[in-house]
Amino acid sequence: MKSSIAILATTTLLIGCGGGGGDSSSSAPATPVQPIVVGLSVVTAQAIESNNQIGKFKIVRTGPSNAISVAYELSDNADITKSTASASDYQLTYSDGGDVGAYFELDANQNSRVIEVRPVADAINEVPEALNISLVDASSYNLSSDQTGSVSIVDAPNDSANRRIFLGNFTPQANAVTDGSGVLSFILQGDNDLGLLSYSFANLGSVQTDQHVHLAPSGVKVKEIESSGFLSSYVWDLAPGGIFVNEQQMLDALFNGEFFVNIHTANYPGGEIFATLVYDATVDAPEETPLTTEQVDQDILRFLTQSTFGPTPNAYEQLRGQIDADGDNRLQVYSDWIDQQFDIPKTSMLSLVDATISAFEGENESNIRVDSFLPIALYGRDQLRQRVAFALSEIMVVSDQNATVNNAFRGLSDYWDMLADNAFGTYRQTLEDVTLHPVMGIYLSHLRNQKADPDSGYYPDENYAREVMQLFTFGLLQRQQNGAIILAADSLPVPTYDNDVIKQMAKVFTGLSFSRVNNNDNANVENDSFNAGSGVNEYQFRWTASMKFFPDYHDFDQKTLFSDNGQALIIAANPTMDSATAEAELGTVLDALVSHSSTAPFIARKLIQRFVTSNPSQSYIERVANAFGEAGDLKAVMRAILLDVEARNPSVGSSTTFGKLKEPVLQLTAILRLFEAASDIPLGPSEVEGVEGLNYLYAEQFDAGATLMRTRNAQIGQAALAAPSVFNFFSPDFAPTGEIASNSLVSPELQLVTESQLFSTFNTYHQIINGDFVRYNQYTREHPNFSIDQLKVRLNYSGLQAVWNDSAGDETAKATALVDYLDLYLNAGQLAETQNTGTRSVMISNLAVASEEERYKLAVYAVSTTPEFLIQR
Amino acid sequence: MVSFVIYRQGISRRKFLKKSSQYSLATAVAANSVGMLGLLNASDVMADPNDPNDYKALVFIMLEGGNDCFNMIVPTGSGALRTNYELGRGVVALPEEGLHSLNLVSPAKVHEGSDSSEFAMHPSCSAMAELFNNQDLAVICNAGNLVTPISREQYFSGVADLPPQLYSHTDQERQLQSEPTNPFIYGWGGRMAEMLTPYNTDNQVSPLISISGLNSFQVTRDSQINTYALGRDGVAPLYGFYGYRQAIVESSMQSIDSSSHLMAQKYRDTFDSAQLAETIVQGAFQEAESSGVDYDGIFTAAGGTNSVLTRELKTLAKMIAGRSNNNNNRPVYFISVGGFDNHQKLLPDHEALMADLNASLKGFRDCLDAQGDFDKVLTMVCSEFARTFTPNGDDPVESGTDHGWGGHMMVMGDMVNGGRFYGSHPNLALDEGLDTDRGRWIPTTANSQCAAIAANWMGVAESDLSGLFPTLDNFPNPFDISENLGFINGAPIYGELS
Repeated sequence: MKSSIAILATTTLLIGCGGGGGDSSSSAPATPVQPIVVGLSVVTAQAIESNNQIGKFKIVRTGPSNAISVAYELSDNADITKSTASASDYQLTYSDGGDVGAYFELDANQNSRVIEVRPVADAINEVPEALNISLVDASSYNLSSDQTGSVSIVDAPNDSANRRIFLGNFTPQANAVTDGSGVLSFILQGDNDLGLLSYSFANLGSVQTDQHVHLAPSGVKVKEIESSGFLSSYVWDLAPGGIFVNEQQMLDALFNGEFFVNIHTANYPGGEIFATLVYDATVDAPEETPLTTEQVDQDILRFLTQSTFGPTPNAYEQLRGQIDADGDNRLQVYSDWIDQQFDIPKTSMLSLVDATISAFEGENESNIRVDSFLPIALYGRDQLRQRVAFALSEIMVVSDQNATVNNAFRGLSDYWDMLADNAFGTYRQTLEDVTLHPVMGIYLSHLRNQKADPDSGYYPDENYAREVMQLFTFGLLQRQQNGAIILAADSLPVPTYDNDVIKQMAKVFTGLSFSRVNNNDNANVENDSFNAGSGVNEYQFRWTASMKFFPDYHDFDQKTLFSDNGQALIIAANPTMDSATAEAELGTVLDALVSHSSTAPFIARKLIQRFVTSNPSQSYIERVANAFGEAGDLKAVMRAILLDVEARNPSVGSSTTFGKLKEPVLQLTAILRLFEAASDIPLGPSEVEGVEGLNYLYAEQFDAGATLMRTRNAQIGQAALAAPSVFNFFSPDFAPTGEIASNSLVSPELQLVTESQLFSTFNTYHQIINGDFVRYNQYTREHPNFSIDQLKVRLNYSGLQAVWNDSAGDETAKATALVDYLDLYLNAGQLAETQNTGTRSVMISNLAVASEEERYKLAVYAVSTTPEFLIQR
Repeated sequence: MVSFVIYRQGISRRKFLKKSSQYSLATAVAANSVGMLGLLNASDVMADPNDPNDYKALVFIMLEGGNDCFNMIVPTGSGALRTNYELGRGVVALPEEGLHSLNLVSPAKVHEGSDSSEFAMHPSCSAMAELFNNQDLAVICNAGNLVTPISREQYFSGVADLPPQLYSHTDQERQLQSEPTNPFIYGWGGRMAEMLTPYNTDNQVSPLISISGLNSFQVTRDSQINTYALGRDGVAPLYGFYGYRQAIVESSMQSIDSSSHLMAQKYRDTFDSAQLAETIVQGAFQEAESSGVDYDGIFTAAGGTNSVLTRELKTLAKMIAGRSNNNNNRPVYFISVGGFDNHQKLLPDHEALMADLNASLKGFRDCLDAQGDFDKVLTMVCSEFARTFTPNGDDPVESGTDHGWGGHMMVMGDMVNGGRFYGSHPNLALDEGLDTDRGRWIPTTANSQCAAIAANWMGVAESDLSGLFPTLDNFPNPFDISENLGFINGAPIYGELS
């Protein structure tokens, strides 16, 4: 966390310098005395003892060029679990010679100077130590905004030569009578920051119930291992646990052989077998074998499954080509891809809806809004942005199951666009836009919510006040940065708020109503009536403009709100009862909601679940929560989610717990994207005689081949913006009974898998395959401008045909190629990898004998119904 | 102040008193039914749990979002209750005109108030009033999630054992369907079905049937029985499911084993369950359709539209009618219907909800009656909480109410001592008595006390009830006459000396 902050600071400074350079050339006559401005940046963020890599800071000044001494101070790591470098760990020198003294000296005309951090090689095993430098203000100069920097001093680089191995054998614990045994390894990386824990065991006398790392001899637990069963390259970050308060203590205990892993079972709740982690200098770390071509392919497809509405051959080939050209640095290629996605302009649902309405006069506009999702999901070039919008729509839920929301079709489209606009912004801004959006206002009823009037016996509506805390920010319980629930001294969880807080919060959201309305001439005008009705007409000006405060209806009294770290947020009563005051108050509350210490981990977990896995480790949550920061930097969050070691771990293919069930919408879009589902009506101009295109102005924001998708919602149990309630389609904590619940795991999407829904979904795919995937006009079935045949959405099997035709050999060989193709794109090649060869062989044998007419439809039916294809690892 | 309470064994544990003679028979049957749990020896066996004539079903109807039951059941007349009603409800108070009067067999107890018989039902609830007046339906007053009985003083002292996350939908819903404690382990419907396993011997279709998807109520403790989720209109067959398609799907399901992903295993289980149950459920529907009962006609005559609730209850009535297709003698059904979270537009929206509930319950009752099953099916109508007594606005159309606590439950069936109010009705006075604020009443009856009586009717022995409801022992025995919960036929009724 610390080092990432330092890197951010660097970036900012470099940008600042560029600008400053331009200014310095100005030579205005008779300038007043210009101040010297001094800044600090980090050039090389790591100093390494083993190879004497030198860390580097740079100080830079602008303004007058006389010699100056710049004061500085060193500070301890703010995170007390991490180490701070002490004077014996390094020497500070100038790159142009000489030791650094009490000040950084800049000679006359010397505008910058590099300060070297020379690590002192000791034989001590140390965790990374931060050297934090802050410049100190003085009368002879001013400080620029970049005045701090941090260099990390580590023992050795993270390469295979510097990994150290700890081994252990599982043997019966204490008095346990068991044949249980097993082996264990822990591979510590060069900088001692984290390592990979692997183990397996056998012959337990009873079913496993838990597993932990403990400290000998006391047996104090230092680390909960969330999953159960064998571990393979499980990331253990040595975060302090048990009696320890910092990582160095953990590292010392590790090298002292004081840690043991034990396996708890039903017969031996205290542990049946245990293995002590013993350092063995004679063992070489396994060669870090580069990923095979197949593994890289699988990872590319996994990445695209996590970050888009479904992998396509084009998207795959683009990434594969870059990785080949780039010498296998796939993470850099993904990172570049994410950067490109950040810059792709948003495809607008509202704009597409408006354009479609004008082509379908007389059609129910809410239907047109429903049908606008698929073209964007399938063909929008801004895939990652739209995936984030979809994920946010499942956290800050509004739903067309509410009649007014459904009728406010422009408002609901605008709500989606608002989420897409914010997808790469901050969670803080998203929450503000959500709070003020009239569609959320009507959905959670803070629209036209007025301050209490106890004399008349009414009180403000509490709906939004509650859900903005329970669902949109920090949740019900105080959490650590890694998502774990905080227990109070009485061993009970600590609630984040109580009903008094809700009553006070309700006051914050009083006085909001429409900011715009249509007047009698249907012009878009400022609304001056708090009680303006929630009417829905074709213009819907009131539904697409943020709500505003009507001060007469806002409660300006003091409000004592939720607490964080024991400190309650108190909004003082304000005698200036105007809109600006109400807005400022809202801003303060939203700041506090998003920066609340439980919000980052709570939202991080929900977002990881939408993209990567239902059961992220605590370390994964913590890393994403760190990226979230105070304001919820969603770019950083998406990078952290998609590039995390856990998301990119190539060995999860055989895991029985990692990943998630694909939610129905994503399962559908993945199939429709791979099979280029399309109608005959292009979004742009038509090139086919006798077919009218939509001639949509922004058709170029979509991939080639984009068409109208007038399909209605497929009956798969889920549709965008259509959750049954603000609690979304499924709970993030849903744990189906049986193995999943008893392993303390969750599987939110399984909440939608019921007998009746399963059959309904199978039948929906049957319909799609048969080409009956179209919305009939409510009254006439046909539509004047377009025939039903033109509007029908069909799958394109030419890709599958090519695979079949181009494969050498007999039918079985061709069918094998077909299955491998489907497996690669829809399943990241897991079918070929897992122990479960049953699905693969039965698909091959049936596809080999099916008639040509039936073959491809059969293939699509198989991938949309068989369990192996529904798990995203 | 919300606090978290984990039930601790042994707190205020009470011995259940021996019941009246009517009850000892039921107890004996029940004790036997739970086999190894029972306390009686073989000579006490009174019935064969697999006798198809010994059939009982529980139907749990969940009104999701918090039903504003204080506008479903409304005080009338000139007494203090009516005065407090009008005062507290303000713009959302219903005028007496248009309400449907209730003829109480005996007056309702009123907490810190005089007994009263002056009540009526919502203007849309004519049929429900008729059911009540025909003694087919009863009301349990001011029930709610409670860990232990508490007073207003204890509530405000901040040290009371309160249900975790009071006033939160998801939490209160889960607690109503299980226990007001953390962590969640099982739903009482699910656990009850496990305890009644000797009655439910069908190995193809589960005794736990939901027509509203997966829910907390039917989660079992031992995971041996899973909820079967039936479609709203019954079960649809798979289209085009034969030949290669069937071969691929079924073989790939079979190839899922213990080394497969856990989520794939669960998916496979659900598919297997769907296939196994399909024939049986379709058989049940065919039997119902050919029984001569005119389901559509009865529901239409009851005023039913094609609403979700109507369709679901119609499906359920058919499942019960066709029960000879399976060997489950103690099925537990779950239905939920949403829309009750009326933070705004309470009066118009609640009116529509009440009309739907009214027609659906009436249609369901009449179908069961036509099938001859009304004496075999206990229907409970519950919601996670009532709503604030005071409104959140000053406009009678736009205003709504917020999340509350204690509210009225309804029970229906021929086995119900209908036409009565059980428990005690709040006196509806604000800022005193039961009011925590805005008329969020502290419940005077625990949901688990009501559920315990229903579970006992289904066959769970009294001695096993505190195993099913761990917080039950914190309360007076629900079978005590002073608790006024004798809503099952044969139980002594408070105030009605025989």
